[in-house]
Order: sequence, then structure tokens, then C-alpha cells
Amino acid sequence: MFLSSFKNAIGLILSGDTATYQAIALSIKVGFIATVIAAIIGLPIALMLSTKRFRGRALLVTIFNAFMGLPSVVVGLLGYGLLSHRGILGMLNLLFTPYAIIMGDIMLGIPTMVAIAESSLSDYHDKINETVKTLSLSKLDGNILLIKESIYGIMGALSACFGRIFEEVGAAMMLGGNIMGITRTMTTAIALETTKGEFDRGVALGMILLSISISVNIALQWFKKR
Amino acid sequence: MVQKAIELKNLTLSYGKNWKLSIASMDIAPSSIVVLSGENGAGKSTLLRSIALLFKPKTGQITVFGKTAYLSEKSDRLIRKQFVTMVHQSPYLFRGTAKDNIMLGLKSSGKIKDYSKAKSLLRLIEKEDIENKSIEQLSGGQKQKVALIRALIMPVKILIFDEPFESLDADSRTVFLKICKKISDSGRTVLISSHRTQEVAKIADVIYNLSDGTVFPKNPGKI
Repeated sequence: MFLSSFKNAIGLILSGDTATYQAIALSIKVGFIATVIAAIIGLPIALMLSTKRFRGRALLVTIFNAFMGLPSVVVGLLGYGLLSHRGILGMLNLLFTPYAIIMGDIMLGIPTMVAIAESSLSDYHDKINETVKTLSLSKLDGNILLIKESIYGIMGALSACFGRIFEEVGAAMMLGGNIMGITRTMTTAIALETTKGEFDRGVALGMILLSISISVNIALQWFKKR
Repeated sequence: MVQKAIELKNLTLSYGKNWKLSIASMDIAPSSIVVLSGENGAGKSTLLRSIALLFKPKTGQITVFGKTAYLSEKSDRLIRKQFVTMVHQSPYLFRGTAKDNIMLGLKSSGKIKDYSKAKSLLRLIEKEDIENKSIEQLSGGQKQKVALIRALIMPVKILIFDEPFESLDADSRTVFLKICKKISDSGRTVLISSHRTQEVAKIADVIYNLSDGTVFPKNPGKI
């Protein structure tokens, strides 16, 4: 059964099926935008947590680590509460739009970005802190050096953040509504097609999802080796 | 009265409950070369880190050219920038080339264009052309030399070297000692910790031996 579905899936990919490609395009777009915004918000938080010592720092690090495993449906539920007509952001009319999915994905991505980047930045901060002080470098120069030294860890955080966002289904389903051609992503399409019994389409989308995920990681590994 | 480069008063350095180093009084004159000797774990590195404003003493006072250390992070940064730098026993070099790392020594003063001085020092201490080699390609000794030059070109009055000779060959050690003598003659103060006391004694003005949790002066002539 799986082998014939696999063959049919390849046929679907090669036929240029519009619905399939629309879902792929939206997933990539949403995934990249949400990852970039999660990184823009998360990296400064990770940098602050790794370089500053203040009361409650350890608790914050623990919270971000714990939230890495936050179920996407919980984020979906929270986002729904905020964006529905009765919610505090209801007047923006974002529910069931790609923007709502991006918002939910950012909420999912930030803890992953912060927790993984913070771990790498903290390791390097301990290693370079005294050298930065002996060189009398400014805080800005010290932070730039810290980011440069931890770049592989930060790339790992970006990769994990993209993976978390790209492969989630709960928030996309609840905040996007799985509307064909508008908010249907690869993951929500896989869920729908499988429940409809369209196993071939589900396998085709699953293969593409996996390929993109692997390609992003290969690209990051290649960059690491350079 | 000539201002002292470094003054330590009633200093206690400690790690937990088991290790302590106490110094009632210790003065270091400007333009002098001071050597710290002692067994492993005697506290040479900790004392040097403390003088370099990297390790806060438990009690007592450190002054650097009349400025009291450890009052605030901001004032410590200013004292370090103006007066003191240190090369650790295992110095950290950043990703990039030898030149990138050496340039960091000039960054705080903004005199990035003064690289020619560093280049001539590098030629003096290292025969091979390592300037554009990446840090991963350098040997332990070459890394040590890059870290030493990075500190030597900084416009500070006190240079602290923690065990600088461990990765250096005999020729490089001789050249480095000559450089230390030269910079001391030009008015800068040099502090060196080393197990190679006899070798360093040739240029030392004062030698302090660390043992039994305190510091004793030694006569360099009697080493």
C-alpha cells in the first residue's frame, strides 16, 4: 500500500498539482517569515540571558527551556483567544489569515530560539569573557565577538526553530482554518487529505515536507564546514 | 614621591573555604619587571587575575596608579583600558586569522592603523609567516605568540603574563624576554608568573615566591 502511494505521490508532485504547490508555497513563506521574526526577537533575549546576571535569570532560562515543548494546539488556542472577535486583538481581523499562522508560529519558535541560542552563547561567554575584558573591548564589540564565536550554536537554534515552525500543525489549523489556497499549509493539508482517505496526496506532501526540512539542515551543515 | 604602579593592602583572595592567599602589603614600582614563582596551586594566576581586575578579592584593596580597583564595573573597565592587560596561561584566540586576533589589541585604542608595530613584533618572535593563517592552523606556540603580541601592542602601562613560556621554544623565550626588558625600559610595568624562575630572573627586578598562602620577596641575584 505504502509503495503504491509513494509512486502516486511522485506522480502528483511531477504533475504540478496546484493545490499541492499552493500549500508548499504558503508553508515555506510562513516558515521563513516566522523564523526570521522569532530570531529577531529571540536572539537579543538569548544574548541578554547569557551575558547578564540578575535575579530570576535561572527561572527565565528554565521557562524558555520548558516552553520548547509547548504543544502547538495550546499556542493555537491562546492565539484563537487573542484573535477571535471577542479577543483583545479581534479588531485586527487576522483570524484565518496567513498572518495569524505566522503569529502562532512566532510564539512557538521564540522559546526554541532563545533556549538553544542561550545555551551556546552562555558557553562561549564563560570562555571569552575575561579575554574580552583584558582587551578592553566595548560591550558592543564584546557582544559581536560572542555572536561570531557562537555562530554554529545560533545556526543550530535557527535550524531547530525553523523545524519547529515548519512541522507544526496545531496552531496552523486553529489560527489559519485550513482554507484551501489561502491558509492551507503542508501540515494542515496532510492532516486533511489523510482523514479524507487521500493517502497519496498526504504522502506526497509528507515527502516534500521532509525534503525541505532535510535541505535546510544540509545547507546549514554546508555553511558550517566552510 | 613616585606613584606606585600597583599597591596591594590587606588582600585576601579565596576560593570556597579551602584555599586562601593573604598579602598584608605589596607594592610594585612603575617600569619594573616582577616575577611570581611558586608551586602549582599556590595562587599565582589568581593573584595576577586579581591585579588585572578580573577576580575580586574577598577583602583588602588594590590600587592601580592610584586608582582604587573593584569599586564598580564601569570604573574597572576604565582602569583596565588605561592601565592593565593580561595574557592567560591558555589564552583564548577568536575565530579568524592571526592578524584578526592581533588587531583586537588595537581596537580599544582605535589605533587600528598601527598594525605595522605588531607586524614587526611578529616577525621578531616568529620566523614563519603566520599573519594570514587561520587560528586552527597554528601550533600551540604560535597561538601563544599571537596572544602575547595582541597584548604587547595595547597602549597600557601594565602588562601581565601568566606562564607565557609553556608553549614557547628556547629561542622564542629569549626573544620574548628581550621584548619584556625593552618595554620595561620604555616605562611600562611587566608582571610574569613562571616556573622557569632561573630564566626569568635574568631580567627581573623583583621576584615574589608564593607559598603557604602568602607571598615572600626573593632577591633575583640569588636565584
